[in-house]
Amino acid sequence: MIKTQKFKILFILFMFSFLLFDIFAANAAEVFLESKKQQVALEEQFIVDVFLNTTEESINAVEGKIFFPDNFLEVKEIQDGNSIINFWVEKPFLNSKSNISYAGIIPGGYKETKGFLFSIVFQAKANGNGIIEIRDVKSLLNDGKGTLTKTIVKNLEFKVQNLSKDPAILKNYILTPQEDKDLPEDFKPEIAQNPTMFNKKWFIVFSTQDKGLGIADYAIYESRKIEKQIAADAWEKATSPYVLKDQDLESFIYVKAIDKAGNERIVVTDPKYLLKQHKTWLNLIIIAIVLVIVFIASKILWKKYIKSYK
Amino acid sequence: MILFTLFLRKKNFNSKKIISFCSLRKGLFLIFLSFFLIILSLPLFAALEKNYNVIATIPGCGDEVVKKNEHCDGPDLGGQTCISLGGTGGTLNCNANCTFNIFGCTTASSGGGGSGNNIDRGSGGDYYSPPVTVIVFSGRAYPKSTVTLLKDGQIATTAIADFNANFQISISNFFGGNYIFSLYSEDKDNQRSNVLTYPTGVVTGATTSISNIFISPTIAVDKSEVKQGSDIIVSGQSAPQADIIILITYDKGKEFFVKVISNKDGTYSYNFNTLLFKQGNYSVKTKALINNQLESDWSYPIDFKIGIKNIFVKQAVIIGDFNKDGRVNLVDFSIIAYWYKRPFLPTDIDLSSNGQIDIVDFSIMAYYWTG
Repeated sequence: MIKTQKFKILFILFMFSFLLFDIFAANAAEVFLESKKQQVALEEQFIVDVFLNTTEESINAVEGKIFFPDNFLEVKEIQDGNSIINFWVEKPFLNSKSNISYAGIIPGGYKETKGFLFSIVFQAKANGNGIIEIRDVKSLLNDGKGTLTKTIVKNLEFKVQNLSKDPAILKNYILTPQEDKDLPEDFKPEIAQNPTMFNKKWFIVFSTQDKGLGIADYAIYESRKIEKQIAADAWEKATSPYVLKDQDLESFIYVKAIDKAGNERIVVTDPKYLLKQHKTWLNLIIIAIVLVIVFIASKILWKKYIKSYK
Repeated sequence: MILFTLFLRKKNFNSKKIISFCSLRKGLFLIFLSFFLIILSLPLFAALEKNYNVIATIPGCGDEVVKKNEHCDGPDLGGQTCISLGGTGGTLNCNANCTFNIFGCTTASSGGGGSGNNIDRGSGGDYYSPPVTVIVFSGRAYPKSTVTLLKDGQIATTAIADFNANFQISISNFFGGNYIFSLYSEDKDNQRSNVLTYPTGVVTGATTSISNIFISPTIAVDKSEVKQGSDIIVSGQSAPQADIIILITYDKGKEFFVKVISNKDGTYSYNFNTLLFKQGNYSVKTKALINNQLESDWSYPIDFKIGIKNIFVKQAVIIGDFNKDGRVNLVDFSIIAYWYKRPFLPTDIDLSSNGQIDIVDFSIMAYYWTG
């Protein structure tokens, strides 16, 4: 009889804890992993997507780490195209052999149940089971105070089996751009200067998004003339903020965004100031015009004077 | 002038004789006029030296050869014509951004010709229209206010609301995908509203419309600290004749509501008397309702204190605007990102005042983002 009562109490407590968990989960944000394949063949590549569920809250900043067993898996690529993150503080990157770090913001906040953050392309390199885990996750409310909200995580289990007999499955099909012909989004670089940065040197900031596979690189070319074509080796790989070579700000600054499918968008920022050589030419032209006017006027006057004097 | 005088002197003319000539006067006048014109033109040249941030997009566009991602380039239409694009005739042209200009194309007005999806059979009549990706936002802001549309955190375009605070704002010619669109408005005193965010999946070639938007009211207070018993003025702007709900919170959760109606120009003002309220920290925010149907979000909350003296608000500081250009955007993001996890950071950059730049500072900045 006592045993039955104890069992009942335990059962109620158990159910109550579930209820509490549900209430807690309903008010918490969630970062979760999804993959179409959880059982993969040796050497097969597969994609794991990282999503954010904000539930009822508006979230404007996230950060976290994705841990994976590096004895089973190898990261082949990280794709952030079409991400809900507008500006990466730390673009998802391989922090060590076994973890990926990320941090970014969504100005104005985001409130949806399945917001895509980024994808990881893994390749299975040994047979066995494992878990891809999300740790050190932070979600911050869009409240102007940077309030941390409770965030739960949903990890992903995987199983690597024997080598597939189908050679087609082992192709690097995931890394092939899937019909991504769209250019990176249009963007507007801005030239700035700040007393606390780069010894007060002028720098340029830029950022854009790609709705396909994501941005691969940026490159910069500075020129004092308008270029119709820029040689491939003239571009310099760059990250924002980029300290300008031409601190006189007399150059056209070409910024190229390249996505992972090789599509490029180039935007050009006009010089902030007129070229020195143009200024010199301008001054010379003004002096020449003045001299011509003076010469013509003196000629006319001289003729008139002579005429009237006679 | 000196040279000219010397020249005349060399020719043995004395100054009295020179001045007596009328023609000479005219000549001098001409010279002075020339100098005057040159002096007048100098500011024009000087203006060229000032800042002009004109941005042009040249995705390989402009070399008159159609490449990947270009519809056309100058005269090179890539072999396309109005007919090949589904029209019945006319002249196909190329826009400066290397997209087709199809306004010279025609279709069969009877609707019998052309190729289904691509023919615009609307009120416009005979013009062919290829699939264009468009997103349209419409709703209420404040009378004659500027509404700004951000696409993925960067300013895409602006529009002016009419006298009744109605606005419509749209952008086109972008690719399909997931976007975060944001809207905000500025009132007559240049106060900004809260930012409304619309995560939207856009389909290439489709027109997406988001309507019935109601931008939250702007809000300002005249004092940061009010002497107990004195008034503090809460003011701002919304749509004309809207119900403005003012919510004052204090004592960890206690609330005080009041409703006022905005004027014809959308402005509202409320004198909150603090006589019956304890000294302490307070927060106020507002939202607007029209006919109990259209309801805005809450405005930014503003903190104030009921204390022993009146401290008037001098000028509202824009949080996160590190380069003091009146905007919180990529430049400010870059400044704070530069100091991310670095030691010896400048104090004015540490928005959370926790001694380091971390994700909390970025979150605060993201809240006050203007693009």
